[in-house]
Amino acid sequence: MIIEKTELNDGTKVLLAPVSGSRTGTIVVTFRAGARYESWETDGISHFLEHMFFKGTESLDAEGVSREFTRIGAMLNAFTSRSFTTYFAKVPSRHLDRAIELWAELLKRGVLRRDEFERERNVVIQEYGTVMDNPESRIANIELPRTHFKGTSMEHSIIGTVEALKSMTVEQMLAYRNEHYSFGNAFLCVAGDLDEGHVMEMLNGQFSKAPVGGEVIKFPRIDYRKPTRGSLKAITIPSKKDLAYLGFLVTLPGSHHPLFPATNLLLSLLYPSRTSLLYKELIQTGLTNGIVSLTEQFSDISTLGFEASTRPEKMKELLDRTLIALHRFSSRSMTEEQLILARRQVLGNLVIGCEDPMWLALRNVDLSILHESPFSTDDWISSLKGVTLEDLELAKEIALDEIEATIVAFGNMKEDWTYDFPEGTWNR
Amino acid sequence: MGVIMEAATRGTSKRNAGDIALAVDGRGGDLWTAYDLDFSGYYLRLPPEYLDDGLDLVIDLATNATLSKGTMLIERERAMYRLRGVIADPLSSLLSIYRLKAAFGNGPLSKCIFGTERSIADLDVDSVRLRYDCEFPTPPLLPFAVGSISEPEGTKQLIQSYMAQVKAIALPKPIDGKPGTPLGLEMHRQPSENAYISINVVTPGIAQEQTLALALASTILGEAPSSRIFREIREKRGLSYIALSRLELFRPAGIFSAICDVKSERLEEALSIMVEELKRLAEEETSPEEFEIAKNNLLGAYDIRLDNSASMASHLVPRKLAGSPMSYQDEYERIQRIKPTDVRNAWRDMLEEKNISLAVVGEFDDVLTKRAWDKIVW
Repeated sequence: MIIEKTELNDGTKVLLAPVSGSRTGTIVVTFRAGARYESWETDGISHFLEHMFFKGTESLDAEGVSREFTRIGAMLNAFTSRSFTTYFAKVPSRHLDRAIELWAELLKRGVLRRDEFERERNVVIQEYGTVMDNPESRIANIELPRTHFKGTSMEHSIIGTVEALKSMTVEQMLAYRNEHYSFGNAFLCVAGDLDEGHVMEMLNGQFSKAPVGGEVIKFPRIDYRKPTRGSLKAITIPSKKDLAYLGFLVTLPGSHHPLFPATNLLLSLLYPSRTSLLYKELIQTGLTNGIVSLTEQFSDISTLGFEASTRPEKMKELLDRTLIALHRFSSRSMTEEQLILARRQVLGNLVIGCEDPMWLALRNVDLSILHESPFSTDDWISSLKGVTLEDLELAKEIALDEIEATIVAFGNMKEDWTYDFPEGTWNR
Repeated sequence: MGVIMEAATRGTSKRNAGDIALAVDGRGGDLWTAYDLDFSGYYLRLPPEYLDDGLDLVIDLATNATLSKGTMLIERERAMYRLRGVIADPLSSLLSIYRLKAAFGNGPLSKCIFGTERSIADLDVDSVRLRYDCEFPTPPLLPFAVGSISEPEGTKQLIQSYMAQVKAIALPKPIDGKPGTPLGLEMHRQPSENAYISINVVTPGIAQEQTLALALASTILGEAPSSRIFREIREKRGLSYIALSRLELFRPAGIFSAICDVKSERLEEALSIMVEELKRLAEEETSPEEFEIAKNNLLGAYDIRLDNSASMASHLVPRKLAGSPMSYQDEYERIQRIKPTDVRNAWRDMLEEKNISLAVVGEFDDVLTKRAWDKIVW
């Protein structure tokens, strides 16, 4: 696959990924706007703004925007992370030009109407309720990062707090949008069945006079070598939910660290695939049904994170097994077989994903945001192929030699539940 | 069935658990099990060059599983976690348990695919193994290969050679009798921030042609960005985050559900808006513009699916297993020919059957909810 990294006439960074045999086109726009840029006063504003993005332009109301995307058969969606907000539409390729026109309309002439703002505030507060109602999403989005990253830009949840959402104003959102939603802070990717010359012509024509903006905005950095101290937090929920949840988080280096590709291979050996360490230790022993990866990656840090559920009375056993297995793993040298397996697994997953232009386009902007410059899946494949056994060994040492994990145990356990690290693992 | 399916991935007479894991991960693949009320299946997604190896693996899992007692006990425990995970989340329990109960009463389609606490606890591992031994040596097995296939004829021949080894291809009988009589109202209160509601209409089964008009009805109601339920409930009133519909089809019958989350005090309002929209589609013909937009959206979904072999497989496999005579292209062309009157008539027929029910889960006032539901005249 050859992914072209190019620029529009105004300097906007663009990646073009033609996929032979495809019958669809996907356009993705990503802005540097996410929870890590927020204060407590604006907690949740990036995500709230994502909701407001489709609420109309100077010439289309909210219904009109939805109608125009529905008319071209678009799979339309958006999501907010801690470091970026992404908008995307996958359409039959005959409608790609129209999709580009609609994105340009939204970006150049989008408006924030007060009445829509008030209604959408309720929708976002409803969404907060759905996050809190699902134990897994509550741990992943709120409890675990807020505990592990206390006092840093990472403690902000994407959904925000109800207090901040209730007091947020249109003016605050307009200021935030003006600061973050410029093409100087964006990456654009078009993938699928496309004529590159024609797409560039369309993009240059449609996106001219879109806000380009000034300096690239950066979120407050965290030094992975000085992570917040690990801690243990037990949240007891007095309910009939006869399941307890474990959340586990460790800080690792981010994409700017030379061992970042090796760290990615290392994580694939730890969870959640069938050959991974924790799959064998926790799933094949019947201690849990599944392991959900909570890995997040940024330029400054990334995380080794996962969650798993079990019976409340088995929480200690689940934790013991996890820590003993990770400690044993850390004390053994990495092998050539492990390197080959990890590489095959990660590269194979990339090959499979690339069949879908939407996945490919999302991955390209994700990698670009992560590396803070245009970075394609081709570049990523080269980086992964270059990982040596020595790199993998060093990545393991950084990740697991002096573990500073935050562990959240959540569920219907006894109120005085406590936990000590098993003998022979890390000094506690 | 989930217990057997998962246990089979822990070893066969040809491969142990490690070999199976390596055959998947070592190729960058993804293996998952899927089971619904009619069928169970292994789905394996691999880079195209490993297609032949992949076929060998899934047929091995389906026909040669070892199912040791220890593995089965572990899988029984995992089945309990799966069920409890569903119960712990009000939205998941609405979708997987209470919605089906409301729509199909005590009929066979009302069963939760994750089982019940009782059925899992009572699962006798030896009898399950016996059942597997009796039924699976001549399995009603249908392999599918979907995606980038460089030599379709060669792949076809390979599949045929495997099938010759496993003896029989026979579709199991569909679930007998009626899918079940709707309960009308199913409520389950549990501590939560929101209430989650689902209005359900029983529809024909997966291989029936009317389901295409009903798919279009569901697109108009709640499956597209400009759909009526999304617009009325979320966009105009800000009542819900989730405001959608879905049409889920099994062999003997299907279920249409209009779903939303709402605060307890506004439940009645959301309910009455959804009911009005369901009735309006049966009473008034959709305007030509709205109809064309919805049709384009549904056809667009057919085009979009072509670029993702996993999505294609999950669309095609249940239909082919149910004996649908329509190819993907047939479905596409038939949707193109559907007219607004067809949608209204198909939808009106559904409502006239009066197989309509409501399921509510979470935090709400059950007395007020019952009163609101009882007041509705279909």
